[in-house]
Amino acid sequence: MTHVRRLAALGVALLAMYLTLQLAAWWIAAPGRDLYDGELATQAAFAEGVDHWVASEVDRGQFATGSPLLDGEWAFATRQMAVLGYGQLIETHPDDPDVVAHWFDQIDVCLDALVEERARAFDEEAWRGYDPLDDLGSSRPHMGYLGYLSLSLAYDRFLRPDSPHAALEGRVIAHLVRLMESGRAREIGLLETYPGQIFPIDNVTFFGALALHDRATGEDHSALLTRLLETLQTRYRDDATGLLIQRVDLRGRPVDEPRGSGTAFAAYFVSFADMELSRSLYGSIQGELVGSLFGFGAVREYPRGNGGSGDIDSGPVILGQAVSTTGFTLALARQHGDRDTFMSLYATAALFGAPRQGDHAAHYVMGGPIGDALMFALTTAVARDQNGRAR
Amino acid sequence: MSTRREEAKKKKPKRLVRRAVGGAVMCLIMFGLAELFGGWALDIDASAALLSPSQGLSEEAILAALGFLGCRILSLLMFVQWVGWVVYHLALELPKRLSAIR
Repeated sequence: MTHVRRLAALGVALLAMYLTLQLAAWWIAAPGRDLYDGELATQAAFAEGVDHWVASEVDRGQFATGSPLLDGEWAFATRQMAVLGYGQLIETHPDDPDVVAHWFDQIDVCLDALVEERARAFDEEAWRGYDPLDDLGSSRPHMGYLGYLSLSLAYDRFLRPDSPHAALEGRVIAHLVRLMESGRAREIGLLETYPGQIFPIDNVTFFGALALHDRATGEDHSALLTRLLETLQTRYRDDATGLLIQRVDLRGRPVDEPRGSGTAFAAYFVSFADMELSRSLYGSIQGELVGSLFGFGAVREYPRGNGGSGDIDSGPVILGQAVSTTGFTLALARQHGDRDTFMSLYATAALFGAPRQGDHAAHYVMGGPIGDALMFALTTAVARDQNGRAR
Repeated sequence: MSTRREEAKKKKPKRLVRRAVGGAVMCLIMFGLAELFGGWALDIDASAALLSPSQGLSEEAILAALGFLGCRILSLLMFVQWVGWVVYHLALELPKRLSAIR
């Protein structure tokens, strides 16, 4: 009888522990509920956290990845993602002209910083002394810099066609369109990030930019865009999983596996051009990579059954779950109306990232410039209609 | 002998209450430590320790990040374990008390 009583007590205790973990996940993810619902006060607090970094001298010295190239990429990505975050807020909260004007000012500061010489330095070094902006019109695509820059510039122009950065946007898009329509890129539908290195994800930023550019200017690159998106679908998605191949060689043959980080980031960027393709990629991630335990969600970097180590794209991979991939997937869950997945992933992101709000601004304790900017853009990502407008 | 057993029975609830309070205090201390490390990590921007745990990090950043994450996760686990322990003993003791009252 005593054993039965003890077993029953143990069962009740285990149930209580399970419920406590679920409750902890719910409590830790509290800011996520407001972010998912698009609550202006919470979103604006995180925007103000990013304002701090925008006003700071964020450059390579801020990071310590161990690689000057990656440090430069992260400093660049901080402002590039900030532009997307501010833009998404402008689209979804257009009512207060003063606030919108402030966010446009922030976009201007970011874009000005993105084209500064020191922001371009990482790409110039990788291209052995060829500066990406001086190289507009050349045969060098510089996708590691120009792909991401094109998306920020095109989004800005989409939001305000009379943008002071419109002329540069036109030059960058024209450069990449010309290269996509010539040489090897006509066949493989991709351009080099750095010499000899091709990453589909870096090209997808340009696909999003091209769609935004056409909507902003009335130009028509639909034939090119359709070809590029079809090539991405048919050639660079893994047949078995639907995930995107992380890296290919100069002939478009896979040299890396289908992975979560590239797929999740690509699904977010391609949503600016094609929501259906974004939904399809998210479906593959849902089917192959997303998991949850006690209310804490996480996303694998490699499909189940495949192992691999982490790198700069995935962040640390712990028991198969990847830090960055989990963060990127937040954007997709929000864009595609998947509240449960968003909340469980946000619980994990908040457990490790620790959002903390001061008097006004909110930061992620473990975020730093890149983490704050990424989470800002990803948690404000929006669903788009056929015309690319936020729904 | 029986007197000693009776005394032990009387002391048991007090001991359990002391342990429950002690466990709760430990959880609070760990939670407070996590908050302290969190404030420090935010001040010195220790984020790189989590995002790129590779090279070139200062000892201070690693200590702040590990201290923060360690205490945060430990405080969560300790709290969950504490709840389990309290519920286990309540589930054992309550039926006895109820039957004694009846």
